[in-house]
Amino acid sequence: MLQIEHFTKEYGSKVAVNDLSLEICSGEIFGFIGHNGAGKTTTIKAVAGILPFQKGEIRVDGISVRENPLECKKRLAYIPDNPDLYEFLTGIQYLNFIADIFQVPKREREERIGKYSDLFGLTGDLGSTVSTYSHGMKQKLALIGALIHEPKLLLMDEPFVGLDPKAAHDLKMIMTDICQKGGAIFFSTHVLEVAEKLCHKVAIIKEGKLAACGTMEEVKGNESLEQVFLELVDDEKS
Amino acid sequence: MRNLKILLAVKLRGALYAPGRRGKKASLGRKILMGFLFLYVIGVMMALFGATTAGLVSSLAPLGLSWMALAVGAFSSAALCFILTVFSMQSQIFQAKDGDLLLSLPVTPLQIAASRLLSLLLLEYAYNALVMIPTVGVYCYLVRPGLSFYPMLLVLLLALPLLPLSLAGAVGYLLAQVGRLLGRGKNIIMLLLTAAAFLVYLYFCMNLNSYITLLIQRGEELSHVFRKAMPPFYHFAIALEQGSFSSFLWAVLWGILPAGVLLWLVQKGFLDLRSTSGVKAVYRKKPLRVSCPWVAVCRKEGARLLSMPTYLFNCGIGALLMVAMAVMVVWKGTDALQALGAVPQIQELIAPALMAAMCFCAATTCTTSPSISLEGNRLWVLRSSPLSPRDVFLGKLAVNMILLLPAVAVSVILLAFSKGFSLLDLVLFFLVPSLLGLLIALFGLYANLLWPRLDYTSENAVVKQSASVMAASFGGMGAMLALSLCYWFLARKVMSYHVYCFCALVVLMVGCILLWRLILTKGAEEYEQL
Repeated sequence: MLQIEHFTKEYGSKVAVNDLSLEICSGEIFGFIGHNGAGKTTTIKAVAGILPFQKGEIRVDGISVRENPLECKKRLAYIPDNPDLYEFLTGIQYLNFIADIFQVPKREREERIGKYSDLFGLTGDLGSTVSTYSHGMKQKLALIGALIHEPKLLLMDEPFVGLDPKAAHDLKMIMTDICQKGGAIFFSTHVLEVAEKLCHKVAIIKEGKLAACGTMEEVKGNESLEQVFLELVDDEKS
Repeated sequence: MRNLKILLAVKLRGALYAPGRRGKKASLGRKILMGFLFLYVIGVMMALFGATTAGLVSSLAPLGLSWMALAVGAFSSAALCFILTVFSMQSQIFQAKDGDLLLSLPVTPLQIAASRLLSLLLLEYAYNALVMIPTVGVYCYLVRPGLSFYPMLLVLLLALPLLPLSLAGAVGYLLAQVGRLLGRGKNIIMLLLTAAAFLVYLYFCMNLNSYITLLIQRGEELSHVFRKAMPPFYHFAIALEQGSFSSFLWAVLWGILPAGVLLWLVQKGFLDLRSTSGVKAVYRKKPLRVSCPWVAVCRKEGARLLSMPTYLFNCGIGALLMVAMAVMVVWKGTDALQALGAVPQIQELIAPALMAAMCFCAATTCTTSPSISLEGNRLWVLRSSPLSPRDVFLGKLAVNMILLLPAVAVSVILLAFSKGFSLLDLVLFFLVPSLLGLLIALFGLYANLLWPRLDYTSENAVVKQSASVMAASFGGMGAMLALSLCYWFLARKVMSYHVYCFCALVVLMVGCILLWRLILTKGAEEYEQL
């Protein structure tokens, strides 16, 4: 579903991500772990077609992000770590706007908006402008917007930040559901316990370079994911 | 005091922070260009106020009423300060985005309020200087006041902006309270209030000459009215002209007392407005409207335009002006047009003059010039969606034309009632301003793609002060002037007005096509790099 090959992103003289290669198959939940500034957000944004890049190749469902970004974007959904949404729109206007852009038919959009907004307990607030929403409500709205076109690949940057326990649980269920239907999920997180329980595969990125990658068992062995991660960070320090 | 200094320093640094493209510093050429434009605007305004003062002093001095020139200057300065501050009150104080952060720090609401008001006061001193430097300069040159005039002047100039600041604060507080109660309806209230204020201002400007004439003719009588109706400005002027200490005290008190009340109101409002919740709209499921992607962008942009009165009135002012002008022509100008039409030399200039006015209005309607910048940190929504740059640009352009075209159409229909114009005139009245408006909208969009400002702290700053908005404003006026001057000095001798309009239509059309192609190629590349 997602192939990242020798991806390198530079900001001036600073190399944010250096020669990163990953592959995420259909049905997989892939966790992306690293310290602050390691290059997680840069990678996710490049996959989402937001950040242009010069070196390497990224393919979504076999389509090159660089050569055919619109076709890739039709297949994926991206949720940033801090969902800045259009504050002048109401929740329902925002969702309808996203549905228009993804050209979701009328019946499907009404059905999905109803289903997910009921699930996240947001239905009653859809008439209010986004400016009145809390961080968690914005996060939920961004999630509903991302799910509205049933993406094959869901990209999420720190998706659990700001969500209440029920919403976090519901999101995990949705993630599992997407994978069972043949989709894939690529997300970054600092909550290692969640990654350990939820992910089929995990990659650890350190200063723009891939430090470890594989199935959860391959990466952590007999240790916990937290121990493995801390050992890798300590290696760097020493 | 230390906290106040820190807060004020941060606020001023934020106000002066103007990053160039993608956070880089602005180039020297751009700085020079912006500085030149800035100086031009300041020069024009100062010349205007200086000339008004000279006219008033020379007419009123023989009657012993030269103080009225100072009073009129003080009133004009206060009015300018009020108009330019009242909207900043909302964004800077009552709906400040950093309010929660500041309230969580070990600083008192009083210190926060004082730092905010001081930063606005410093801004008002700049506006005040625009009016009072030429007013006082011309007054001193013509009247030659004694030495005691100057120390008093210094104190009074420091106190003068306090009153408009207080009034703007009171109105801002009221609007914030009303907004809290009305929820989404507050934008409509703000729009109506801004429209009403604008029409009053327009009416005042149109009658400015008659007011000045009235002031000169009935100075004695009006001086009593001034004394009773506008005591702060009366005392300001009398203190300076006659050296009256009691008037001096009154003028200072008229500034300080309301400012004290405002300070109390703001520090109270900073907590109150945040601790009470507004009206919540409960959503009831209803059928959703389906649109194609570029129409969805257009609807989203329309919602943004209607949610920001400053955006609508800074970038859509021309459309409103055009309709107001057509109403004036039909309401008051039909007889005048018929009388002018009797003189053949003048008759042939009526349609070109009206065309120039309509083109001016169309050229000042440009919602596209800040539209890319206004995406700000929400740009990810468009960039991560399967939206081609063409759809984004088309949606933004459509909003501009949806605002402009009905205004042009209504104006043409109204002009049709004045019976002074042929069918061809009316068709050209529709086509030329519409195409010029489209050209400026395209230019504004391209300018914003070249000079985006995405890391702003206040949307008002983007709408009012960004490079692309200024480029579109001056570009629009330049295009209108070029068309007018070309007709007046060159084309008029070799072709008729109608033939010239057709030539202008062809030029505008070619310009639009070329700019659209440029936007779809170079502009799209710039968009992809944002």
